[in-house]
Amino acid sequence: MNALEIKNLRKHYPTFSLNDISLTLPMGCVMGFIGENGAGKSTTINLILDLIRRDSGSIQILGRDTAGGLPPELKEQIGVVLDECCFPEMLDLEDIDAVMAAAYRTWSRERFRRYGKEFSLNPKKKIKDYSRGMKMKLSIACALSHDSRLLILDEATSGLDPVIRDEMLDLFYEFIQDESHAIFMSSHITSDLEKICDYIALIHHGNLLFCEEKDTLLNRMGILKCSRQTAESLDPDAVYGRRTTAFGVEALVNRFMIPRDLTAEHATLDDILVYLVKGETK
Amino acid sequence: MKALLIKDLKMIVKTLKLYLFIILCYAPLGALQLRLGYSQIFPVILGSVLPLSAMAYDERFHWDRYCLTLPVSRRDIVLSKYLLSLGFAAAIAVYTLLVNLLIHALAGASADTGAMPSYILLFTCVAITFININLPITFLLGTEKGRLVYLASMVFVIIFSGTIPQVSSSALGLPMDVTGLALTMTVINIPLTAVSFLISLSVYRKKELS
Repeated sequence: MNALEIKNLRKHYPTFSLNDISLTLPMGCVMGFIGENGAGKSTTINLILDLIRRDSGSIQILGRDTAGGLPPELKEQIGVVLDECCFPEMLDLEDIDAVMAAAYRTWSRERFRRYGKEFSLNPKKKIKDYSRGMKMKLSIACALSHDSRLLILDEATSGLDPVIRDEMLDLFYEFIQDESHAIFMSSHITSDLEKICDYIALIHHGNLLFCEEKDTLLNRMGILKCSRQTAESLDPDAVYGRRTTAFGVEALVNRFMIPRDLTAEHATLDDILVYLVKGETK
Repeated sequence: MKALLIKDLKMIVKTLKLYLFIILCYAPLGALQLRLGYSQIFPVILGSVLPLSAMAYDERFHWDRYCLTLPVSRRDIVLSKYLLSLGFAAAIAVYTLLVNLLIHALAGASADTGAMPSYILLFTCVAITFININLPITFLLGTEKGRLVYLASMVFVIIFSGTIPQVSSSALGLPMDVTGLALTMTVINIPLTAVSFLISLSVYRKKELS
């Protein structure tokens, strides 16, 4: 069973369209969802969560089709962290605990309090007095304090300092040790995704450019620095994007499709994102 | 749905303390005037709009978006707002009635106390009509855009509440007294609440929260 299976998902707005998004997240895996601002990441997540209506396509979550919406028993198994803390700011940690305990049958007050202590969340402070980092930690604590099998994280680590981000990644790593769990996370911090993800999906202008295993992707993609003449001689299918500099050309290439005498450095996710989104066409 | 009600009650108690204080104080203060009118309707109306204020906070903090990811349905969300509104209207009506009767008894005033339950029932029905009009519009347009209708209906309620105690059945040309009017309003409000709820539900089921 796949944790998440999206087929030909479409959503049209007057100024933006999400076109035929298809991706599959197997159980026991983490998928990083990347793309520039306005590429369609949040629209896709909103569609997955049924916050907005799809025009066409299908979404299966934990083996269940969600055409008629997400039933409460399915939501019980999904932990969600949106790009901002959505709790009313006049409430405190104990209030949140009481509300969530009434919402989730599997809510663990003991686990929530443990996370509260671990994350140094003051139970007496109102949410409005929390920093952005603390608010995100609270949202993550809530997502992990019930029996979630699928975590859907929309920019969950943004606003956190590198030390806290690392702690959060450890938590996600611990969560994913269970083979019946999976994580779908969008983030601009590609270094985090490189650390934890098994799959990477890149969306650009509402189109999915690729969705593949991270190791295969990073092994295949390389940055080639060469002269303009050399760049022109390359097989066009081997070049995904390029930038012309004063010293020549830097191109994102398929390392297995360039001549053997040329050496391409390994590309990072940042490189891939920048070249595919901002680079010149082949 | 229990979670939604707990959240709304906690939020109202923490942020709208002043409203609650005004409601709790206004009923006895109004009763001291020893006449029927605004004093009886004001707390009931104010209480019934508290859930609308809670909805404004939901939008501000994007809770309306987040709560849809919790194990609750859109129907639960709509139903919780109706239950909260009707609950507040009913609780404050009972409180206003008891305080008024007590103060009238202590003051030894006899006038109109017999009709007081009917007046308060009538005003509670007006408050519920107010809720029935405003909740579907707030679900459709959001609290900011819905405010215009909210203000317009509030003006209507104030005019209505100011008129009712003064008019007699003959002046209105109606074949009924205040008790009859209150009972008629109660009967009208039952299907009206059901229709209002169904409209709100239909609107909210189609609503996109991005």
